[in-house]
Amino acid sequence: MKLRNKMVLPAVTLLAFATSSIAFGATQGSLDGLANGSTGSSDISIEVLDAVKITDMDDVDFGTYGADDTGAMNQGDAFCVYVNGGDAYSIVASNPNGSAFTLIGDTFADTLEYTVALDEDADASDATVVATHGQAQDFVSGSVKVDCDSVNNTSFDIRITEQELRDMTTDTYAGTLQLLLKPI
Amino acid sequence: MEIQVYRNHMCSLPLSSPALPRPALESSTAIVNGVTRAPSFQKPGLKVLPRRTRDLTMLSVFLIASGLSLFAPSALAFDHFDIEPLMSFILSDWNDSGDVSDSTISCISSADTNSKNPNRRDLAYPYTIKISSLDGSDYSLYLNGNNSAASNAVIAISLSHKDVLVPTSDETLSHDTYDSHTHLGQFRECETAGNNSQIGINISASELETKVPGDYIGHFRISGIGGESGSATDFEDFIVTITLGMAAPMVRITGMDDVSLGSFNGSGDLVADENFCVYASETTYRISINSNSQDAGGNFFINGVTSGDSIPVSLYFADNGLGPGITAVLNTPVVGSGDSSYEFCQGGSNATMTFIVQEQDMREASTGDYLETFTFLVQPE
Repeated sequence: MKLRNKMVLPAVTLLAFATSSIAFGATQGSLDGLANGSTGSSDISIEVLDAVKITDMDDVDFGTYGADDTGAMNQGDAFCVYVNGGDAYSIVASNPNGSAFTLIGDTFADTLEYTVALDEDADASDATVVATHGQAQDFVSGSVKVDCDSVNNTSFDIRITEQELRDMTTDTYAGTLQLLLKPI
Repeated sequence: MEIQVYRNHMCSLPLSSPALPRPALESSTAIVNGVTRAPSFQKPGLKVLPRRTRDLTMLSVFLIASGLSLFAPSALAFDHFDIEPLMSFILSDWNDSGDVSDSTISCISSADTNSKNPNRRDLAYPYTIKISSLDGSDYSLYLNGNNSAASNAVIAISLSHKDVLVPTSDETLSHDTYDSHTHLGQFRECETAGNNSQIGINISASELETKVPGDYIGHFRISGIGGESGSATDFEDFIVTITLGMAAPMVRITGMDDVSLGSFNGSGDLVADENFCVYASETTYRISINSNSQDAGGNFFINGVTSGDSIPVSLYFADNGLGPGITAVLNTPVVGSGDSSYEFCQGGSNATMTFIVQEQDMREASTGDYLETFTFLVQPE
């Protein structure tokens, strides 16, 4: 049996537009001399919109699982989550081709189920909470750097139980895991 | 200066049509301040001869009808109109101390006699006046009398006139234009009721504030028309002077606008220019920028309205240009050259402050609105 987990994980940037309600009040100076001078003022405003970006996603290859192999398998990947202001964010994990986390056999189209854990660091293998398909999972803070200063700050871990593997017909299995990043 | 017109009353012709426009008299009482008023102005098309003329005309008709010959002049009447010399307006030095006002009262006599002590049959007649500049086409004072000086060396003044013997208010005069209504003249030298003609002058502080220091002078002529005939004229010249020798350097900043750097949606620096006008009476000025969020190093920030985050913003100043700014502004004033002629730069701008917010700084800012008030303080250098 050969397993290959192919994931296509689009980087997602979400933009939200809002109407600013800032009050303005530029003032003009009066004619005056050295003692008081003449004072005018200008209000400077910026509106910062929500901005998020997920990058550095990689495909995951589990390799093979054969007669000599035992136990469950897990493989993961670390990636970068940018959120403006380092604000909180959520990730919705899903299989875009189905309603559950599954891999499909190339030849016989058998379905191999797996679970996914997300973590707010570069190693999700120790994450205790698994994601629910299609449900948002919240996290505290993204990076304020679009490239995370080349240090990935979030990860996923795909887990397949030994029994699930043994239940599968010999085949090559592949699927897509999609992560949707949203600002909170 | 006085003009006396001797009129031959043997001629029964009515007086020629008076040049005086004959607007409404400012009082309708028969006796005004002890001066017996002349008959009212005639209605158009109905010539009413002055009383003495009528009397003599009737006498002439009688004598002619009686076959008697007369030689002229058998009687003389004075068509009297006189503007007595005015005191010049020698205004005190102005030192940024508000509006300047002054007035002088003199005598304008307009009557059918040149006697200072008229008898009860003598009548005073209306007159009207105007004031013209001998230097130009408006009421202005000129630095050192140079009537071709630049606008910042020309002071606009306001002139007014009233008859102080009649309860009327000042009438602001227009250059070389007769006042809108006549006034009842006095008898010669105004001995009967006192001086009657008040000329007022007013110069606003805002006008004076923008002018270069120095001695200003203007030459003016008050002209009038009146007398029994309504066409007798006279004039007097007078001057107005003021010294702005001790006026302090003045500055003014205007044309300030609020600046929206727009919305940051994930990429690119945000840049905005604020163009404004700096007037500086002595051209050179210094400008300093302050905001509540400025740190000890002079760095500026734009604070989040709700988030509490701050976004760094860099300021750059451009003198005498529309930007972009090139001189970094922190907590040390920078020097510029203002407009020394026009307080509002003729509606334009002569300085620019450029605000630049770096992309990465906005990435590090939480979602929301950011607002900061920047105060521009301009002082004479």
